[in-house]
Amino acid sequence: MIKTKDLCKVFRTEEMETTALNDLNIDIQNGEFVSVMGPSGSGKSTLLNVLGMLDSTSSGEYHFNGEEVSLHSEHQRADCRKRNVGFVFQSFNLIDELTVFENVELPLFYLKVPGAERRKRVDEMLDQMGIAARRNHFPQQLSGGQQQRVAVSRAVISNPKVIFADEPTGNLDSSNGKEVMELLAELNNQGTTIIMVTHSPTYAEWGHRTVHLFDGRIVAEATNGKPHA
Amino acid sequence: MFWSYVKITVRNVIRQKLYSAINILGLAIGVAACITIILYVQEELSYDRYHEKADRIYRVALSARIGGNDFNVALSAAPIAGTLLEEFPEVETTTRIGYLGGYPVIRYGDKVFSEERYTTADSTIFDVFDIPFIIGDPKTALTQPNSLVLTESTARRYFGDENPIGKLMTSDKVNERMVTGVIKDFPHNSHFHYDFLLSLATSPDSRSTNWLNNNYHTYIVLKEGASAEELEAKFPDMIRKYVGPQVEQALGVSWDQMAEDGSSYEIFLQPLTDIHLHSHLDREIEVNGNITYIYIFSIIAAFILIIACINFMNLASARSASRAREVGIRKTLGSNRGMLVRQFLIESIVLTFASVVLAVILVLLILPWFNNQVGLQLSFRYSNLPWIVLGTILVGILAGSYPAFFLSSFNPVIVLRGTMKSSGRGSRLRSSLVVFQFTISIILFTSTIMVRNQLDYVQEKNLGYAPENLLVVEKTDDIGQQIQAFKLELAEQNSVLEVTNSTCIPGEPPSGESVFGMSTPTGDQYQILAMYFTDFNFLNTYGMKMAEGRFFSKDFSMDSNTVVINQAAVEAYGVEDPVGKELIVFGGPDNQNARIPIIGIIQDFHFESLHSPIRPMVIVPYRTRIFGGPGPTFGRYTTLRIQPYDISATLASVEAIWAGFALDQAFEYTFFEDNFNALYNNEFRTQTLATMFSVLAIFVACLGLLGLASFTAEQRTKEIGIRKVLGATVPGIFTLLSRDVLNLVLISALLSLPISWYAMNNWLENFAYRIGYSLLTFIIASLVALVIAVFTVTWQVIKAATTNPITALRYE
Ligand SMILES: Nc1ncnc2c1ncn2[C@@H]1O[C@H](COP(=O)(O)OP(=O)(O)OP(=O)(O)O)[C@@H](O)[C@H]1O
Ligand SMILES: [Mg+2]
Repeated sequence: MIKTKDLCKVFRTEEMETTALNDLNIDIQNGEFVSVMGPSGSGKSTLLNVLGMLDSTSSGEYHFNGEEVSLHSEHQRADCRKRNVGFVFQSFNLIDELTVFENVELPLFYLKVPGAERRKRVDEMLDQMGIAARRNHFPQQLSGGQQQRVAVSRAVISNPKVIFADEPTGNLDSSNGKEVMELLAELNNQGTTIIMVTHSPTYAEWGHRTVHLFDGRIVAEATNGKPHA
Repeated sequence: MFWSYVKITVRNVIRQKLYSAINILGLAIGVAACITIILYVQEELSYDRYHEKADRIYRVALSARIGGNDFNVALSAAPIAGTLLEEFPEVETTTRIGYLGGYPVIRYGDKVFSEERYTTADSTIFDVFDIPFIIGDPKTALTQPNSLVLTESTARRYFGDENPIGKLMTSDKVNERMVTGVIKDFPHNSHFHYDFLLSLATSPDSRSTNWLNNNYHTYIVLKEGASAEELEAKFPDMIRKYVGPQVEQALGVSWDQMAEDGSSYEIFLQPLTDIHLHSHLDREIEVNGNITYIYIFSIIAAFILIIACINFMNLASARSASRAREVGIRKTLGSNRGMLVRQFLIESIVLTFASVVLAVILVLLILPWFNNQVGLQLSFRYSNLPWIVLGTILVGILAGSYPAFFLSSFNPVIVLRGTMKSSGRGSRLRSSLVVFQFTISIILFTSTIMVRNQLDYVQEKNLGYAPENLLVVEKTDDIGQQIQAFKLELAEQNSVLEVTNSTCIPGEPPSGESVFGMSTPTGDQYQILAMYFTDFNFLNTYGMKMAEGRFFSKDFSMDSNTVVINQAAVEAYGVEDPVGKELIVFGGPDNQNARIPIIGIIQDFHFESLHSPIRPMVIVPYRTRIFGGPGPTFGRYTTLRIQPYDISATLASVEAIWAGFALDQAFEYTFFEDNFNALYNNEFRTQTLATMFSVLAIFVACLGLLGLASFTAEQRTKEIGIRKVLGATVPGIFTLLSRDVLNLVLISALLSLPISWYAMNNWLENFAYRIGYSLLTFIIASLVALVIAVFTVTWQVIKAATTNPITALRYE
């Protein structure tokens, strides 16, 4: 599903050059749940952005579902991303001006799904996530846990093959955090590939394996003996 | 404390370059436009106020209706000044300025000039008006006949450094006048500018007791505390006493009978200081200004200032989100609301001050160019400075108050938790302000285009003759009877197609206006006809057309005792077959009314500006016996229809021929079209000013929009980022962001439609011949505003739409 070879990502600013990813090789199978850990600044978010095709590679190869993404133009990347990938962020990144319903609807809108079908799918999704009662609320009117649930709903509404989650539990208390983890695990059970950055070793253990990053390299990999309950 | 706020302001200015530039520059341009307009308005309002007795001086004017004709003239009869002084104790002084038809040629030594700003005046003119003397005694300068007072620049023109006092100047080679005084040139804010004042005592007519000939501009000074209205109330009796009997004698109809037939005769007073802006009578001394334009420009000035202030407020409030943190932190650290309000107000005043300093510099730099463009002589009035400073503080407070009170009201907890919604209230206010700005801009824009169209229409309207390629040689009456030979020689030139000589040309006041009668089935009808005296070739040269009958021709020996009238005259008399009828002319020999046959009806042509409808007129050929004596045999204007090419060669040969006849006389010519267009000088100036200021208004509005767009885009970076992560395309985002602007401009257009419709129809009323309100023009103006607005936001939006979404989301 995901395979990189000597993947590099270099940021150049006027003063300095930062190698955020350094000859990184990773191989992720369809249906896997991979946790990514590492100290701050080690390149976790960068890795997710590159793998999620939000950002370009600097050098090396990146195969996504058989396509060589590093050769893609920005436009092609955006197209591939739209069809295959969903994102969940630490800070939810919901649009304040839109209601819960409208936020979740957006990806379908951009996929040009007809209106009636959109409504049906969003309503089903909100039902499933247990936030149907909140469909006409604005993000500020929701708790952090509820907001993240909306964000997850939005990430999966388009049935993506892969979900990238960057510290999805970072802004949540433990009970809300656990709920989100359960959501992700459930999705993974249904066959969605999940790649998640986390600072919490406990949550990391929910994954099939954990990848440790340091200075843009994978320094350790561990298969989690006892995956999620 | 104050200085620390100033320091923060300066630091903010430097950090937020685009924002500061838009803010300071926008306001500076607005203020500069505003100051310029105020200078113009002040100049117009200052007319004639410099006279010490300005508030007690009145001009005597006449408004009458006789035989269905209206007279509204700035003139009065010779005896009225004396009568007012003798019979009404509230009158302190009076003076008269003569209204002269012609322009004399003045000679001194080898200097010869034809003088247009030459008049006669009572010696009391110096008692009424403040006219400072350089040499001579105002008390005696004009008391003796043939005394002449010159202005300083005129004296220099004739005498150089020589002392002119006591020197003799000849007028028209016949009369000798002695220079008795030199006065300062009249300031430009005077409603008259003469170069020569000849003592009125020179003219026998000044002692006339005829109340029916109105040939003088009469000015009176009222005693302190006297009321002009009370004085005016006594005029009807005076009129009955003096005018009544003379009218009865001339027309043979009793005064009361005339009043019953709908005639009226009113003498009224015009305050001196109202003349320039409010008086639009016939026979004004110079073309006056117009109070309407003063209102219009004051409104435009206010609008531009408001637009600039709105920018200021809008940008500040748009920035409130990014300043919310600062407010939150300051509040947590113990600042109270009042201190914050003060901080933001000081910030605003400092910025305003910078703008105003820039504005004053702009005005000083631009004024010479501006004066040149619109034909004015404005200068910066330093006496305005205190007002400008006061205005600055006011504008600063006004523009800063909304952001000051809005920003300082933020709740620190909400702000710092980061959950403050980018205020819907604020953005709605911003939208309405933008709508307001664009409404004004579209109105100004539509009006500007329509003013231009109307003026084009005026110039292109079929005038009833062909105004192109007409060369007018002026003052040809100076060579007297030699005009015949002059014309013959001109006619021989290949470049000259037709030549005519006349006492008057279209665009100049007619050579006279007089009452003529005609017998109709319902009795004798009397009408006032404007008079032209011409030779036989007038019709051909101007390319006018006959409606009936024929024009004068040398094939008919009787033609020097016939007339041609225009269609308007036929209509006024209400007769069926005018050709062959006779005009009745009053005051023949032995008081016998003369009768002159009408041989033709000329098609109506515009002999006055299109402000006024075409009036009844009569064309009298030279040598016709009229008013009991021979009429004129030559006139001031010789008009040539010339070939459209090689104009300079034509001019050279015409000048050479002229020199052969006129010897030392100057060759003065105009192209007819230029001369005629001068009738619309006021409108042309308005057009130039309106164009400039509406372009400025739109520019300043767009500047604000640009700033606003960049902040909207900045504010919505997060949203844009999310949308892109979720698959939005660049064009999609572009549509999303520009749709708002589009809506605002459309609302503005809808609002400006009725307002511009009303305003334009009002203005067009000024013209007797006019275009209608054009919807197309309105649509074009709106589209232009739309395009400019969309264009303005485009690059900001594109910048926002094309940034990498991660960069946007990283700001979280
Ligand atoms: N747009 C950018 N421009 C320049 N440098 C960048 C940019 N994005 C990331 N970096 C640098 O790349 C390195 C990796 O950053 P990254 O955001 O991937 O770290 P991280 O592991 O996600 O850290 P954290 O746990 O704090 O989120 C850092 O040194 C960062 O400064
Ligand atoms: Mg990170």
